[in-house]
Formats: sequence, C-alpha cells, structure tokens
Amino acid sequence: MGPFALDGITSILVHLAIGFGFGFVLERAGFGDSRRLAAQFYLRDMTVLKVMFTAIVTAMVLVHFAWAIGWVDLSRVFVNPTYLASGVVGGLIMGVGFIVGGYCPGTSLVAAATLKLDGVFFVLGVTLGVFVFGEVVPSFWDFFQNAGAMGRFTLADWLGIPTVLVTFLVGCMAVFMFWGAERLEAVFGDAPREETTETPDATTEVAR
Amino acid sequence: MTTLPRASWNPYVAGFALGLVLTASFVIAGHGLGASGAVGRVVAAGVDAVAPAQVDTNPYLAPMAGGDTNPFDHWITWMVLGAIAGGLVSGLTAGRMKVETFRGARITPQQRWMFALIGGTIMGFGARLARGCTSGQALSGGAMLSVGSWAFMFSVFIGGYALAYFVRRLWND
Amino acid sequence: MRAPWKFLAAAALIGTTMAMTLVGDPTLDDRLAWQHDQLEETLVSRDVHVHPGELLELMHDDLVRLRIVDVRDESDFNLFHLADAERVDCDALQSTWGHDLVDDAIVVITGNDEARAESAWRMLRARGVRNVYVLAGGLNRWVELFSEPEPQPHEPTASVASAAAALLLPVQTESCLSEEPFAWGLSAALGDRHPASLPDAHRLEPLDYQDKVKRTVKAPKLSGGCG
Repeated sequence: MGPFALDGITSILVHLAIGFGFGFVLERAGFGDSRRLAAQFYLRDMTVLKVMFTAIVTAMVLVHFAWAIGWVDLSRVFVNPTYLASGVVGGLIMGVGFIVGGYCPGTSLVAAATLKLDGVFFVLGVTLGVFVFGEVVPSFWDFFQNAGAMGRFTLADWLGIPTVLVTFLVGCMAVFMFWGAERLEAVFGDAPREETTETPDATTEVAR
Repeated sequence: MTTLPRASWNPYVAGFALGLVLTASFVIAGHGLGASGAVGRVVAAGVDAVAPAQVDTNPYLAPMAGGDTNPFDHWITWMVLGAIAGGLVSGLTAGRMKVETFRGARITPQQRWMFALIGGTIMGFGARLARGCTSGQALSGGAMLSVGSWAFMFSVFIGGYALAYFVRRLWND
Repeated sequence: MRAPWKFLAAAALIGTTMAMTLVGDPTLDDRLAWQHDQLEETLVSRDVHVHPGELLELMHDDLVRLRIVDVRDESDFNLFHLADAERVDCDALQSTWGHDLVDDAIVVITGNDEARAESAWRMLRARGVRNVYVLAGGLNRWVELFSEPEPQPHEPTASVASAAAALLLPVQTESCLSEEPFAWGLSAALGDRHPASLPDAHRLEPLDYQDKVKRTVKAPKLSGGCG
C-alpha cells in the first residue's frame, strides 16, 4: 500500500525521476514561453488553465480511486495545510508577479534551462524575493503562522460531504471550465500558426 | 496580433501527462511537486554561508539551515534538479534550445529582463508567503482537495487578471 | 461532434467520479482490513508499546504535546486515572475524536491491560493518526510500579459487576475488545488525585526501558509541495 517511506539513494532517484517528468512535460506544454503564460490573463490562450486543471483532476481521480480500493493510505499523503490568510494574500501577490514577470517558479526553471534570458532574470528575481521574504517574515510571524491556520483541511471536511463526492463536483466544475475556456479562446484568441523547425527565429521577433 | 507558436503537445494531453507525474509522486513518495521551496533552500544556504547566526535566530530559515542542518538534504533539491534536466532535454529534442528573450512586441529585451526580475521578485515573495507556488500549492494541494490550496489558486488567477489590463503593454501588440 | 475524444474524456471523468461517489468513501472497517497485516506486525513487534517509565518522562516534559487517552470503563476511570488523561468512548475513537490533534501530538492509549488499548490503537492508526502508542502493561502495571504502599489486589466484586454489566451491554464489536478489570483496590475513588496519577520524576531512576516514542514527527513537511 502506497505511499512508501523513501530514503537514501532511492529517494534521490525517485525524486530526480519525478522532477524530470515534471520539467519535461512543462516544456512540452509550451510553458517555457512567458508569452503563452501571460496570454492566459488576456484570455487569448487558455493553455495554463487547461493544463493545470487537467493535471489536478487527473491526479485527484487517480489518487482517490487508488485510495478507494485500498492501494494508497491517504492519511500518509501530504495535504497542504490550510493557512487562509497568508495563502490568499500570497496568491494575489503571486498573480501580480505572474503577469508582470510572465512565469511562475517551476516554469521559470524550465525557461532558464532552455536558455531563455527572461527566464534567467525571473529566476534571479525569485531568489531575491525569497531572500526578502526570509528577512522580513519575522516581523509578521504571527500572521504567517496563525492567521486562518486550519491544518489539514480538505474541501470534504469543509463541506461535510464524502471525499468521493467532492471529486465528482470538482470533476463537473473542471469540465465546465474547459468548455468555458474553449469558448473564450474562440472569441479572444487566434489560431496558433504552424511552426516548422527550420524557422525558429520567427518566434521572438514580431512579424508585422 | 502576434500569434504564439504551437506547443508540442495538446494542452489536455500535457495536463494528463502532468497529472500522471503528480499521481506517481503522491502514491510513491507521499507528496506532490515543488519548485519554489528549492529556491528557499538556496537562499537559506546562502545566508547561512554569510551570516549563520542570523539563520539560527530567524524562525523561517532556522528549520532549513539552522545549526548544522543541510538545507539541500530534502527531496525538493532532487526534484528541481530533475525538472531542470527534464526541461532541458525536452527543449533540446524539440529544437527549442536557443538563447532568446520572449516578450511582447512593444517592449525591448532589456525592458523585458527588468520586468522579469521585478515579477520574479514579487513572485518569490508571494510564493513563500503562500507556502508554495503553482506546482506545490495549486497542483499538488488542489489535487488533494486542500481548502487553502484552492483558495490560493483562485487568488492567483484573480491577482493576475486584475492586474493584466495595467501591464498589457508588456505582452500585447 | 468536432472533438469526440474530448467528449469521451469528459464523460470518463464524470462517470468515474460518479461511480466513486456511489460506492462512497472507504469506511473505517475497510481501512482496518487493508492495513490489517501491517498493524498486526507492528503490534506483535511491540514497537508501539510504551513502558510506564517512558510515559512518565513524557508527562514531565513540558515541550511535548502529550494526549493520554483512557479507554477504560467509567467506574475504573473514576477510581483512578492518570493526570490529564481524557476518558474516551470507543465509539468516539472510530469517528469524531482527534480532529483537533496537532501534528506533533503524542497520543498514548491506556487501558487496564493492553487488549482494549490495542483495539483503540488500531482504530486511530487506521484513521490516520500517526504518533499513537499503547501503555505497555496498562494501568494495572503502572499502579504496581509507582504506587506506595502496595495496594491490595482487588477482590472480584468489580469483576462481578462488570460481568453483570457486560450481559446488559450490547455485544461489543470486534473493534473494541473487553479487557481485564482494574486490578487494584483503592480505599476511595481518587480519580487523578492519587499519588500514582503523576508520580515524581525521581521514580524514573531505577527503571530501565527502551524508548519507543518518536519525538519529532516527520510527517507535516513544513515545506511540502512547493515549500
């Protein structure tokens, strides 16, 4: 029954492999390109939403299905503890950082790995931002640690309904959001042009 | 309006693949993905090298690098190294390894670098405040149905959409 | 339909989650069954049976968040129980108890002996409480070890009473086993005012035991996910 207590070289190899899959898929999804990430916020390209929600829903269904048949001990799987105040404020700040900088930490690593200079600068920025946070957070430590702190608290706990019912509701919501995303792309977006590998230059200069 | 080049994979396919990676992480290792945490550890190591006493008294840095704790002795170090390798291999095999600067048509590369730096700084601060970023909180916490993660996810989208109009010159033609 | 595979994927998603909803969340009995072998292995190896000395150490340690859960009958509890122990019904352990547990809390279950405490331990483990232990030898042994003067072994009146009561009670589910009666006679029901409810730390000196309790809980990764 998963998950497993990993340590030593096994842990290193497992996490390298998972990380590799993570970075590889992000790049294949086109997330090494800040313009695509930013386009989400102008409704022109809903790839971010589609990829994120498909990933969430896929993992949600598979993990909880495995739990329902006794293959995974869910109590041993990490569930991000809920800190409502710092989570919401941090999320809003991150949204700002996302649209100004064009990446999030994971995608910026992928961009930097493929030699995108804006990705490199973004990573440097993240490092700086994290440093500033570390220096400054003691001054609002109580807020950070305690405001809206609810521990391990799932949607099922909050709504008082079975976890599997939550997966159904989230699944329905996701399908609705995918449908909505397609509609928005049809209205605001442009059909992506075909790119051949012989002309990579066209991607960075504006062809007007 | 400049259109984006087509991505290698259909977004739903990519999302499904990402979901499989995420699932593997949960059922094998018992936790989800992560990225900004590794940056946190790099920062902790850096501060530790220069001012170790400060690390020991800082409640945020101390658990990572206080005393003789090795900040890199954590799974996220390996995951991030793997992610960099994965991104690199994908970019290499798809012909996307190229020194370039992605930007909107109306700004120069140098301006883009400045905004990337600024945006990254804001993002770094926000990510640590939220205890995670899109991979750790939104994807991982979202799949595990954490209330805080879903609230976080909606906040990120709200923050981005709210500011989008004001920075449209960075991205739009 | 323009993209039949999208429709099929959406249908698969809705269909799978609907089927899962109809089956429902796994029950505690399901989880006990799935984890049966692991749980029994742990119990047999006695990895989670805490010596009274170690429990006493924990009780004296201010830094530890200790929760002593007493699963005995109310009459036994009123007669004698440990300082700061909380009496909890087996039913509550199956469902509601423990929602306010902090991540680094150490839970020690005490019974008169071990049988019922082990049942309770299985339930809490199946429910996902990680840092939970059983008092080795139960309170019968605790009182023997820490009280002075030696109390008299108790006459069967209590066991007659509890046997009679057992006839009246509904058949106990296998989740909550019955157990040995409390072995010691006390002149009055002192609850937690008995000296052995919180023996002095110096009582630890002659004792020799293995530490079983994990003091720093690894599980709540402060930096899980992107952290």
